[in-house]
Amino acid sequence: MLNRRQLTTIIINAITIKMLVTFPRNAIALCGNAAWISAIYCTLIAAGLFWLISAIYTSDKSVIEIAESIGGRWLQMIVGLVVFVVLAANFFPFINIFSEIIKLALLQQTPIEIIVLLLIVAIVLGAYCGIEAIGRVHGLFIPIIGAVFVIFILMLIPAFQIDNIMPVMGNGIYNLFVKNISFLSLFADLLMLNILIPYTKNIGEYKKSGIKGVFIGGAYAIIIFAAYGLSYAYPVSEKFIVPVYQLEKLIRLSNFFSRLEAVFQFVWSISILLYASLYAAVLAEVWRSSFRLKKSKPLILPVTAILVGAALFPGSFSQTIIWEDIINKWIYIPAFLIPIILGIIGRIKRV
Amino acid sequence: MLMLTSCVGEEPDNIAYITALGIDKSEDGYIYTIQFAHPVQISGGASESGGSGEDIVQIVAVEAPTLYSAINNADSIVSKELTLSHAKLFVISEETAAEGMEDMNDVFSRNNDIRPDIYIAIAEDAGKYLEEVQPVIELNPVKYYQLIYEDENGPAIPENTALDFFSASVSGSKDCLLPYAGVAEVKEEEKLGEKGEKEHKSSENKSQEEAKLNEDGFENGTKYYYAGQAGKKISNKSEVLGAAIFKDNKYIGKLGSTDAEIYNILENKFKEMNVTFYSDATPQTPITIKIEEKNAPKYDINKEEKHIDIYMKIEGELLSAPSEYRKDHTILELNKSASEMINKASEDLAGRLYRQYNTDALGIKGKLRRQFITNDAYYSYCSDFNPYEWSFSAYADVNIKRTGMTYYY
Repeated sequence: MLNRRQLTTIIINAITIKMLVTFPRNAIALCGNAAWISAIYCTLIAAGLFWLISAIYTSDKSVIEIAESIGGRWLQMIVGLVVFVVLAANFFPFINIFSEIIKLALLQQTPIEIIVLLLIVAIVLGAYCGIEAIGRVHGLFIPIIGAVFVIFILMLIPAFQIDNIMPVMGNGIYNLFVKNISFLSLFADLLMLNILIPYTKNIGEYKKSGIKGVFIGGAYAIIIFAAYGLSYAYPVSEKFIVPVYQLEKLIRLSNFFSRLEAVFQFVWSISILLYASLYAAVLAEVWRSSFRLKKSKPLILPVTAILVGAALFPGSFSQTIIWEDIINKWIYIPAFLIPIILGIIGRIKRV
Repeated sequence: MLMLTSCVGEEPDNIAYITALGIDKSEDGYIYTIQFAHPVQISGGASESGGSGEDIVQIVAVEAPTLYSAINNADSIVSKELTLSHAKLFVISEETAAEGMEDMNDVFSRNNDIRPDIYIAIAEDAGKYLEEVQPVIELNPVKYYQLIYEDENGPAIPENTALDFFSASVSGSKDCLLPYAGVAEVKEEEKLGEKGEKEHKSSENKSQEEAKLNEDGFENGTKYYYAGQAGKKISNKSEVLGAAIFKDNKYIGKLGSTDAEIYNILENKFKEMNVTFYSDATPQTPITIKIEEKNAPKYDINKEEKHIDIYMKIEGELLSAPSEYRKDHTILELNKSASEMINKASEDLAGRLYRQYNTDALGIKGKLRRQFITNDAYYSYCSDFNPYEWSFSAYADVNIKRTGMTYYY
């Protein structure tokens, strides 16, 4: 069983992890340095949607189990496959992006194949430990990583210039509040949280952890956008692929304590590996429950192989980012709609 | 992860660290002067005692169309693999910089090896400047550049880095000034050593004679130096002093030492410095005050009238004042006259930058950002921005808080 702290740290990590890589780039391109305002708006919408899901959801079952109760085995398989595709699509570009960033930032001399291979090994080993074990490690490490994040932001303060974040509404109200609605994809991992419901004591844990995760993850995104906007004037801010890495490069304590980005990237890598391991374990669990298999562990290796195959499919880093952009434009729709629709039907049918 | 940080790839021993790189124009492309560290001559290296001057660095110059092909060419000359990860300075020739710096900006932003706080300097002849960099007391070339270019109390140069230049250029928020580097024209003096070998001795700088004297006001009695003119007798012929002016990424002119000091005050890049002021009681003997800028200058921008009031808060410590002046003037009077001199120098510099050079060197465009709600409105306004139309009034508030160990009020 996962306790509330573990579940909360899992969802916080899952939401915040995207902000560490290429995800914020799109929001900045759309909103300019006012992306932080859009992040506030989208966080409130995500909180509202999750509140709606929480209000609808009364059962202690995941969406896949509810699907079985509603429509039997076929609906369970269909919903399971849809959930699998949505979660896999949400995750697979990440494998390539993370590996490329590690190569760019930390291990420039190491062949990318070695980095991907070691990432796969880490994912598989972590996933084999099981969801509960990964949850415990989340509960242990995420507060430490949060403390590192606070230090990181404090060290950035000398680089802040208020003029950089102006004009206050960036690329305009329409971009901030309409065009950038796909920023809700940051919270797409709330669907993963739903899959973890059977691992919690009761539905209340899911609801409380989810809402905390939305607000803390949203605050994290807002702080990163604000820090980035204060440090780099628009349109400089839209030039860089990995905003957080560019922020790290600004930190310099003295001549002898510069290049701290290597330290920060190492810390973020721990949270990314935790996230990746959890994802492999959750996807194996989705497959297991969809097809009523007895064990999920034998599925971890094939699931990881599918994810890595999909991750390497785009062929280049630029192509991966195009894929990621396309996925992030729509992924929030099924991520929020699936629990809402099944929750409503489940409530009507009293399952 | 920990395993991956081991020596996969290059051993540190097989790497040559580029410390500075000069770019000059040639008929077929560019001449890249690559200066790299000579570790065995650096203190603590194989020679133990370390070298000095030209010993601590080596230079190779190659002709190439781009920086990376230049490094490729140089790799065929230098046995070790050249890396930019410890580069501290890029020197661009005036001729190259006058063509525009967009390509350099692309290199700085794209290359992960190059640090954002690297310095860019402009020189008449970039290669010659790097050849003449011969630190006398510093044994580590990177540290030499750090001390020269990053010292806020050091030479009068704009304290702008590659990142400042890149940000200003791409965002269009200002026309960034860069440090100006130069080489002294010297009359060499040599003497014979004990064993009859030629021994280098300090050299007399002929360029200094060309520098004009500031005959009143701010920095009274000092000369208006450009790089290469500051030393009288020198061992290291390379100097960095003054500022290179840019408009739309293109080099258009240079400023001397006094203007660079004022620029740093106006841009909040000034920390503290000993400055001389004109004294009407003793025109030949200036007053010396250590001035310190505590807060960022406040810019009150009137968008409609295109006028800017600049408010500066400066603290001072009186270092020396002629006795004739002290007899008839109080500290309050000195505060007032020092303020007036800084105001005049500031207005004069701002006027020249905006009217003579037509460049937004103080970043009015950037400061105007907060007066707009959206980027569209802001960029629409900026499209008609003409620096020539702007006027300035400076209001320095000099407050001499200390007078040293001698009583004076």
